[in-house]
Amino acid sequence: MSRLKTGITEFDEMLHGGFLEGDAVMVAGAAGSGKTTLALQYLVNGATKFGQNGIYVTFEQMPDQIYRDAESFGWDLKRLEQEGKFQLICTSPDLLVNKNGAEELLGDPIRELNPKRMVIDSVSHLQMFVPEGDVRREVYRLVMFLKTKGISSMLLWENPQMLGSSYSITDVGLSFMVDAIVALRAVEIESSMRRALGILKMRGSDHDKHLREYEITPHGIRVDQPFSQYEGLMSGSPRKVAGEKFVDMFRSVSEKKKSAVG
Amino acid sequence: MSRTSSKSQPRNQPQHSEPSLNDYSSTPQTQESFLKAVHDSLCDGIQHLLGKSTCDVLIESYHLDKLTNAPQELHDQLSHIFGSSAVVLERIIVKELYNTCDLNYADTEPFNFNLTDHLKVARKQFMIKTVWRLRENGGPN
Amino acid sequence: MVDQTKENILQRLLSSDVKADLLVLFHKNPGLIDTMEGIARRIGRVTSAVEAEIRDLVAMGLLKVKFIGAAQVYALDKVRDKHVLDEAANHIKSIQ
Repeated sequence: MSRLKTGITEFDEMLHGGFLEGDAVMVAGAAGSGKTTLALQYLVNGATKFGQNGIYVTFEQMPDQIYRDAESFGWDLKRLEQEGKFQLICTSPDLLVNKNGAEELLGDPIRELNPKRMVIDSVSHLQMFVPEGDVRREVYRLVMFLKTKGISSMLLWENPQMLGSSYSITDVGLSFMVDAIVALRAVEIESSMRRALGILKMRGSDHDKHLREYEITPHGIRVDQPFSQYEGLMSGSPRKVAGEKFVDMFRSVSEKKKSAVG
Repeated sequence: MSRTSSKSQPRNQPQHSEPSLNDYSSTPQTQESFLKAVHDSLCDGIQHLLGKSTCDVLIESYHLDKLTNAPQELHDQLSHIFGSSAVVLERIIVKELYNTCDLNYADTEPFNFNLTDHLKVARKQFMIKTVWRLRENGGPN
Repeated sequence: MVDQTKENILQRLLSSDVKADLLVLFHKNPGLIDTMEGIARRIGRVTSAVEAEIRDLVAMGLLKVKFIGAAQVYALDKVRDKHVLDEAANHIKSIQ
């Protein structure tokens, strides 16, 4: 089965090679969690490393802000646009929810660019323009439109809550509609803020079940080692696993004895 | 009450007093930084309004980038090229510069726009921010 | 001899602050597709203030218009925009 690499080595390992071609992927996270960075990196790597053109559709952020943010990571989006490998579209979500809105809005760019990847930033904005019960229908319509065009979509979803115990990926029941879900979450460990990435769902493929730490570096997202020493990260109350607690206790007692002898 | 100039007073300021704008504003580096900001705003403003081709012509043929320290000359040259429409371009340039200096551009005098005055305001604000930044970093080098 | 057509283009491009704001908006964000109301909101103006200027930019060919459902939307015509701006640049060069 053909896979779409993200170009982020450790993340592709977690995905056992990449996302499945044609899949709709949801990336859910709170504001500032790195959704836009991850999405841009996915498109830029697709265009520059794997010969796959991409389109980024934004509702909230203005393109000039995205161009500037991308530049800070060393990604020249304007050059990619000139080369016909990338396009940044900014529009209002109410246009997308029109009947045939997706075709009329995205049809021409899709014909011009023949993209394999598309990012929608973010589907949570649809909530402002359609009744809650209709969000699922509109997202379904969008996802199916992109699938019929052979485009692998990445839908960004903003979680309202940054921290805490409750963590609802989507509060309008979109989880079943997408093929894969990636969750980005801030966690507090020993009084410092760290970031955790997890693949919560990946239809049709195995994947790494571990939660891994990730960082937003000057070159984009970097995925690090699993949080093997902690559990309860997704619950909002992380704690050291029993084995690590025992090691800490043993070390503490051992150091006390050494200082008593010394 | 007679006033004495600050220059005749001994420089024994308390540790936490605000540095005078004069302490740092006249350094060549600060001047250079501001002029660079003006230059960049000039190029960006022209490019965003009239495109890269026009920007290239105005820089290469009219050398507008050499007039960043002479706002009246810059205005005169733009007026020569664009006539009364020059003020439209000047406003865009000032907006770019105010953005760089973290100022909000407010059209308080739409019929009396003056490039020189706006550049003075931007320069003062730029110097103030530079002073505070240098202070936070422990003073000028 | 001054080319009246090219001089007119320049005068039309710089005819008002609103038009200048619109040009800057679309040049900074060439992928923008939006209704008149959405465009007005993005430059901090009311719809009535931008209507005439948007229509003039459409008449000049810099903006293209289409319907998405019942909504009329505007987007930059990149090819025509480059052509018009290159003409303006050539005119400026010729008046030196």
